[in-house]
Amino acid sequence: MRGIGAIYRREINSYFTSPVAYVIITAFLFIAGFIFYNLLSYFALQCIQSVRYAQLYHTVPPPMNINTWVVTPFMQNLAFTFIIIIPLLTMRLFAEEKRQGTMEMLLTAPVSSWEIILGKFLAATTVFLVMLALTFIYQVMLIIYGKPDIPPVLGGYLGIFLFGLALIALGMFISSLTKNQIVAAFISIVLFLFLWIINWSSIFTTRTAIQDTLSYLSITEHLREFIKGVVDTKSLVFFLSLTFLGLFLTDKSLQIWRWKG
Amino acid sequence: MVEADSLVKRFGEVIAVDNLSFHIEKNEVLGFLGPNGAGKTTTMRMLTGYFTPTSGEVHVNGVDMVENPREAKRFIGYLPEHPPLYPDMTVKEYLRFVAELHGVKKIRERLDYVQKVCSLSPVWNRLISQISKGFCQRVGLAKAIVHNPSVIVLDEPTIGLDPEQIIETRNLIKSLGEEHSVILSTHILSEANMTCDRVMIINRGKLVGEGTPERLSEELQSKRNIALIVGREIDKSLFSGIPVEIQKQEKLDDKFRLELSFPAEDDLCPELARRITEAGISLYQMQEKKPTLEEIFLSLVKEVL
Repeated sequence: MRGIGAIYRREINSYFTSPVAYVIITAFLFIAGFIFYNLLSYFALQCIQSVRYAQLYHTVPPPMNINTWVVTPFMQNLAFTFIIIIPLLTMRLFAEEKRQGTMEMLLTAPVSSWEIILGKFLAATTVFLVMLALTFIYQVMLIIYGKPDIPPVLGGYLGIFLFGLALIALGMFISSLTKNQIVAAFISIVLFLFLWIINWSSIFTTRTAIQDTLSYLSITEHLREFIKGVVDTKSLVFFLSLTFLGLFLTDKSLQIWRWKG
Repeated sequence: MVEADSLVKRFGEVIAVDNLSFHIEKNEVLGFLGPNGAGKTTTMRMLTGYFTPTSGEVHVNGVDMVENPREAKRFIGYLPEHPPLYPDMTVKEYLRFVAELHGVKKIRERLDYVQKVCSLSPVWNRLISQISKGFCQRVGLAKAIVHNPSVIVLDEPTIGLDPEQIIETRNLIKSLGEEHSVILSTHILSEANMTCDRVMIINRGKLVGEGTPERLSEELQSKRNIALIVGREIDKSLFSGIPVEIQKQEKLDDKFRLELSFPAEDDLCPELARRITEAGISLYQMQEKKPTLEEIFLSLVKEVL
């Protein structure tokens, strides 16, 4: 356990004493803010127009749902943004250690590889949580000025959090395969994009077994449940097992490193 | 302290270390001597638990490195060939991190100690990316001793240092050898001579010679080679009655350069000088040619064959 703390503190320092964390967080908040602003403006425009139409034809304006118009699309776009952002957080975790030779010191220190892996995983998760928490300000604004349905907001955040854990673990695994950060980031982005669209090809088959498998593997489908405000055990297990898979593969990758050098 | 039993490491088809067994006593300085690619680094990496041996066992203080790495690694302080430093940390932060990683109890005390022993005060709060190669090497040494390990493993600790730093580092290693067991690797024979109590010569992953530096060099130097610079050409008859052979004679502008050899057990240098000057030949230079590691290797490999 001692090792987790030491490695966690070093990683956090490394994120926040270099420009890495600030650049990534700023870029992320710019994109997230842009998405939120546009969704909200569009929603406001629709509201005004529907009231005008109602006045023009002397009818009752149709109900406008802020969850459908703002909350749900915001969550989906936020998750998509993380597909690009998370690889930038995880790419250096092991690739950098391999490149600068510090891997040799970590692996000869009296700590287990799980302590190293968890220390790094928790540090990346912390930066991710800071980003996610900062976007919660938008939801607070919605709650103050509107009446969004609360469970989908909370469910969505829980879903994106679990989704982020899975991406961080997988991204860390990919970083442990190479000495080159750019390669690690690129492969991670490709993998995450593929997991995002994996169920698209299910329309080309009528075999339900394949359809079910593809939709089970699709992170989009599981995320959709959470964003609806439904915490489904199946989706919970899916994200957690994906996270564990990433951590497990990282451990195996370190063991192979010890064999092959 | 450390027992290595028939260590083997293969990388695919290549056998980097081939059935190597050795042990290190308490407070002993052991040198691994060998040319580049002899398997020194690979052996050290197995000792420190970085590489898993293909077969064989390493015990540190009786603890098995493969079965109980977490325990065994506590006794070892390791400085790899390239000091594993984080450029974005200061020297102090880095050593504190290493101490935490090793579960050091009195961190401040140990940090003060290594700061003093490795003379790190001038760079203590500087970023590692901004300090010189010599200081990097010293930070690496500090990293290896900060947790007060019983065995210190140093992979080519003087490589890339300037002569003054080399002497400082060697003295530091010697003083460390008084309280710790030290294993160091080098490809410089004189370095092994100066710092080690015992030397193991490794070539192609195999042990080819072992012993104290004195014994090894005695064994290896059956002949002494002397280079002379003299005023005019010398005839063989000048050395009649003493077992001296002229290996080479060449003209250098207005002087002559000679290479002689004679059996190591007789010290014939004064006799040579006397005969040359008595024959009226001016003697400008007389120098013993120490065998290089290459030559020692050649002779060792010949012996094995």
